[in-house]
Amino acid sequence: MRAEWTKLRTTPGAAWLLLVTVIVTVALSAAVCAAATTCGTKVLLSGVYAGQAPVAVLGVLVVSGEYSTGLIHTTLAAVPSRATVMAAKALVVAVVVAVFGTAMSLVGLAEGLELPAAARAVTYLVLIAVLSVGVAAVVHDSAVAIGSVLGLLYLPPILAPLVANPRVVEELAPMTAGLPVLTAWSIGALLVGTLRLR
Amino acid sequence: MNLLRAEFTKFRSVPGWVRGVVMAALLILLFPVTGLGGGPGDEPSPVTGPDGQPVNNSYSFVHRPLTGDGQITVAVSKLSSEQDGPWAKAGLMVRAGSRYAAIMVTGGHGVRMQHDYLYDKAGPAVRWLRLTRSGGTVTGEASADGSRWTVVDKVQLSGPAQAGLFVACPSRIRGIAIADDTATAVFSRPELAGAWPVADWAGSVVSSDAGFTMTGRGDLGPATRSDVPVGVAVGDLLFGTFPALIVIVVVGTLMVTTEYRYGVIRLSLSAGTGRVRVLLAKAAVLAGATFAAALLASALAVPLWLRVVRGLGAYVFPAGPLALLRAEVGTAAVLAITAVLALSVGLILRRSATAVTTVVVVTVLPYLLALTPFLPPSVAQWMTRVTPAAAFAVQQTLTRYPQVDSVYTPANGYYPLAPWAGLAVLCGYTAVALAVAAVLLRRRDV
Repeated sequence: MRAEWTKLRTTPGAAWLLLVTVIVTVALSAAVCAAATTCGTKVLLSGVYAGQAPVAVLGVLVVSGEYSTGLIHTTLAAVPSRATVMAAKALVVAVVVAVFGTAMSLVGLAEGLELPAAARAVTYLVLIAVLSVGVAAVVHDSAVAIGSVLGLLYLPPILAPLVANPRVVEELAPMTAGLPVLTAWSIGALLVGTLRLR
Repeated sequence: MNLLRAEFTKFRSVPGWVRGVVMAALLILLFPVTGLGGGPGDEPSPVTGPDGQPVNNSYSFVHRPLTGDGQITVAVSKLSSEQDGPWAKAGLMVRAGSRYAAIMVTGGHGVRMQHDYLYDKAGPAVRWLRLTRSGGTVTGEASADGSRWTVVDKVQLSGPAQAGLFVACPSRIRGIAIADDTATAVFSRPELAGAWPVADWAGSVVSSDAGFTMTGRGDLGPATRSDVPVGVAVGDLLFGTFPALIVIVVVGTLMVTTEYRYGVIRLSLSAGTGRVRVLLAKAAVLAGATFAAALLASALAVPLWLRVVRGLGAYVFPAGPLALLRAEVGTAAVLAITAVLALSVGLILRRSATAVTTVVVVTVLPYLLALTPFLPPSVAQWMTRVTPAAAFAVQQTLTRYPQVDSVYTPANGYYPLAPWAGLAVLCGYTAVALAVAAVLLRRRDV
């Protein structure tokens, strides 16, 4: 656990990614808010659409970064239990994203965002990060992993209006379905990822 | 040339990359499968006009038969609608079968002469209207005082016809909100001249000695996507472009980041005759392979799925062969250029995950945001105007009519930019990224 924290802390990319998350989310929300006539909860949270992308990158890099450098062999030699490694990675990423997400939603709260909505947004970002950790463990390569995660997030809402049964797609897709379904996606990805690590 | 061959060999020999391009092509070709299974819509096909375009054809009409030549003159003393619709219409019409010619006063766009649903010509903002049929020609004139007339337009329209007064009022569009609207018009008593058969006025009208008062709703004009929501536009058949785009972005990025990861880039750069030429060779191979595969897929997909969809009984918005060709070639070009964008960004950032994310976020995310219903239309327009997502305009085959207010949003298949202009925006971003990549490649160690 502490080892994973040290790794994340010392990788220069991580801090940048979280900073980009905050900037992109706040900037997009502000831009949309300025253009919209009413600045409701949904509009305020539209920045999360873009802000989830760097969070996903962070989640992917925590795993696939080790694959590209071969560090994964060292990690697994030190801690042979695959489940422990995956749980530690997921937990560290989740905590870091949660802390940054909370800090970010404080800005939102100052702008009139309601507390439950802000809490949902933070939970959403945390689950996206965990999902990315899982997907990266499944496919190993970072480009393919991030492509899969972003495809999983962005494509269903675009394609839903054009398929035969849009309701089904929206209720199953991680981005539109709501937090319980997203949790299922994240846990599922983590489990498959852990199995793939063996 | 050798450089090109070397890059092509590299590309060809990595099974994952070739699989990626093939997969992108298959996604374009096969993705519309997911749209099947809904079966034919229950809603009837829309009314089509003389040109085969879907049209709106509902209005109030008070008319008399007109067999030969004749003239009808009227003053529209008042025209108002509940929602202040700028396209509320009141005026004169000659109708022969499915064709018509009409001159009208509108709520906010002055006098117009329109015919056969699609055609529109503006005249002065006055109140007196006159239609004259002589031989096979219908002439529409407008006047401020009923004595000095200016010709607005002439239309060929022969055969037995009905002629008289009409009122129409399309729904009021504000942003994406649509509100039903009804117009009320007060006309003077129409003056007839020429060979009118003896008959009474037919139609719903309140008549007095001073003139006629009529109410009307509906519209005469081309139907747009929001009038025919179940209709299929050709762009819908190419929606496999989005999954294909993400696959292509991954391949384009990997083509350069993999070399960085394994250090092959040092070898490529030391063997090549120039760093920028290595970059250009990579871009050419990637763009060529992507374009060829995607063009093959889209050129097969469009005719194939058009047949399937028509066979299922769905209504397809008409599009000319040139527009279809443009959509097919344009789709392949969007994928090829985005691939080069991904390659350049990959070279700039040298990290697969960040490069893929950057390119996906600038191309796919704006389009997604433009579709989001709770964002204001101005944001949707902006998202598909200044970001690389503007390039999806090449898939637009629907026509935007200046004389019809409608919900012209990207979600409905109407883009703010012209097709090639949209593609040019993507080309601009790619050119800048490629230039930055070239400069960095020369400046950096590797």
